[in-house]
Amino acid sequence: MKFWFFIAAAICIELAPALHAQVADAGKAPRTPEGKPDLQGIWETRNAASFDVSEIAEGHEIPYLPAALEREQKGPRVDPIIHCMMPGVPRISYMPFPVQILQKTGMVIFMYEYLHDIRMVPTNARPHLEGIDFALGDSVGHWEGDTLVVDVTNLNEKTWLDSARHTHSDELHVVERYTRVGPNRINYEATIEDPKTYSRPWKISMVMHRNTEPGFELRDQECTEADNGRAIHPPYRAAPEGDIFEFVRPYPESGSK
Amino acid sequence: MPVKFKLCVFALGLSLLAPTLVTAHHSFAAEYDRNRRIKVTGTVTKFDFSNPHSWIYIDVKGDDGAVVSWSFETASAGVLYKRGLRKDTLKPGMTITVTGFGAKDNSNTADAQEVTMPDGMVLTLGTENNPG
Amino acid sequence: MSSRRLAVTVMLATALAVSALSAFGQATALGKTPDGQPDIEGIWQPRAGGAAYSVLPHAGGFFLGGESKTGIVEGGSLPYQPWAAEEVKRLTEHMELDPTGHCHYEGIPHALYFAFEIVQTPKFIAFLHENMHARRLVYLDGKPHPEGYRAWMGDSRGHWEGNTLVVDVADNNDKSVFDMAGHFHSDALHVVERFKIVDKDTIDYEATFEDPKVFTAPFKMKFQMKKAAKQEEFLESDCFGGERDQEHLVNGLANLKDHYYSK
Repeated sequence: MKFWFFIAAAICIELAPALHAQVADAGKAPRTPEGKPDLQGIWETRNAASFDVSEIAEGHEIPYLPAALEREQKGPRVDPIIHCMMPGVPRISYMPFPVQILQKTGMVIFMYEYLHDIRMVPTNARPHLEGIDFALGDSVGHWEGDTLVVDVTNLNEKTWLDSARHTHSDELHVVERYTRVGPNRINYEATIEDPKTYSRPWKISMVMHRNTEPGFELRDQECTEADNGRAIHPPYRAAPEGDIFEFVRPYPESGSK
Repeated sequence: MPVKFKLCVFALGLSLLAPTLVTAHHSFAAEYDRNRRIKVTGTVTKFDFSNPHSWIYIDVKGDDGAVVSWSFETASAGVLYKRGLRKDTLKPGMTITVTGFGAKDNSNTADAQEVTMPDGMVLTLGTENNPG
Repeated sequence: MSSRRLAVTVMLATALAVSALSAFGQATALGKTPDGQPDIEGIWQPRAGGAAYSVLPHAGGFFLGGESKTGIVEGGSLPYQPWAAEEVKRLTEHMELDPTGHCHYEGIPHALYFAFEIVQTPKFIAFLHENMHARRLVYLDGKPHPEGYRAWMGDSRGHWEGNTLVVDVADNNDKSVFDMAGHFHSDALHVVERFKIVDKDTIDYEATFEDPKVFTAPFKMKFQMKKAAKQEEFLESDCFGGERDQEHLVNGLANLKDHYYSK
């Protein structure tokens, strides 16, 4: 009999810290079984950054190098997402569509509704890939206290920061910081630098709100040519000047057409 | 002058194609003509290492001295990356020879099969069954 | 030894042997996720043998991959209604209409012909595909398919039956296709997939398809999937509609307009 009493007591003592921890953390950000801040859930942004990123920029201005601004104003004038290109980083983070975050040991997965984009962020601070660029870049994460820091390099130069034609070069480097500050809020901040475009690094910051609608699920968001403007300038080969097709068509001009 | 042919990891990479982790872009079969074999030697003007396809642009000087621009389409950057290519593997100014299957519309466009580098190394980017 | 002691000894020995064997078995056996599902997380490499070109038996072809003697359809043929069989012939002649050539999602089962990663949570199982960064979430909460919704990847609701994941896929659109060879379906397509876990590295996939608008009877597709030897991170695989290929598709534009813009 005494034997079973001690077993029961041992089990109770074992369980007690966990129960205590649950009560004490109510009001703080939840944690995963590994003890990391839990960023999981469906999140949305409610700002106008996808139209103009200076809405969420510190000081509401972007510190352009004059030569870069000139290049931009002479460059393509049609938003690349019209042709179904991926929005790039940081734009994917403030597109007006929900994102579902999944967390596993060593990996944070961002599943965006927009264009069914995925960002898989290893949290082992592995080195960046070399010699290849992507629309959403190469994201490598690590934890700094309660903040997930995502370092993004290898970004190609084809994306815009918003639909207001704020562009960048292939030397864009973005460092995103995600901090969950309660059950329904993640504070997002990003530092943006690009020595070919900006005179100094600059910051954006915004809130990601948790979607608390019961039964809410992400849906398919697909881009088709008819939906996204190819139909606006048939035939294909006569794309107007300033269109993104200017730099996606074979370069330089092929022989016979 | 004997040309050195090195055993390249690229050729090995191709053998790992089946079963591939990623697909070949499906429209290749509709675009290129198996009977229109192309082989040109020229100077690289641009290597666009991207998705869904990478493109090699070269300027080819004809016998008449006129320069003709050719565009060669090949696999996605991701697929080529796994086989060891990088965005600067083909540099503007390099002289290379490219073989492939020409586009059905008879333009100076082809799908790239093999690229012979200035040092003689042969990169196999595609096969008759698999464009890459 | 008395027979009773012998019996007890034999029982103990057997119990020990069985527990030792099962302990050994555990090391290589299928694990469980924290919420008790069979653990199938990781990158899987399907062996769908050229199904991307055609789900039926076929010879290899120019840029169409290798041959497949069996295809992946049980019985080696698809029960198309007569009008639909004619449409398949037309689509085979117009490969430029293949939606994957225009960067659209592959749909089910097409997306499963190439490597994908499975991530499990108590509420859903995520299938993440490198190709076209496609994904679908198989919800495990027993909720019904949403109404008035059509998607390239359909809507998936699943549950476990022992070691088999059963997924019901509805709400498919009529634009995704089974392969490049013109094998199409309507938006009435309904699929029941069975991912039978043979061992921790092997899944036998079998799916039953019904689509009364296009086919005369249900049919099945089967192939095996293996855990990828190299569990490497996926690379971004982007595709965008303004793709340069379109310029060089003979008759491409004229057919595109009829095929896509009028739907």
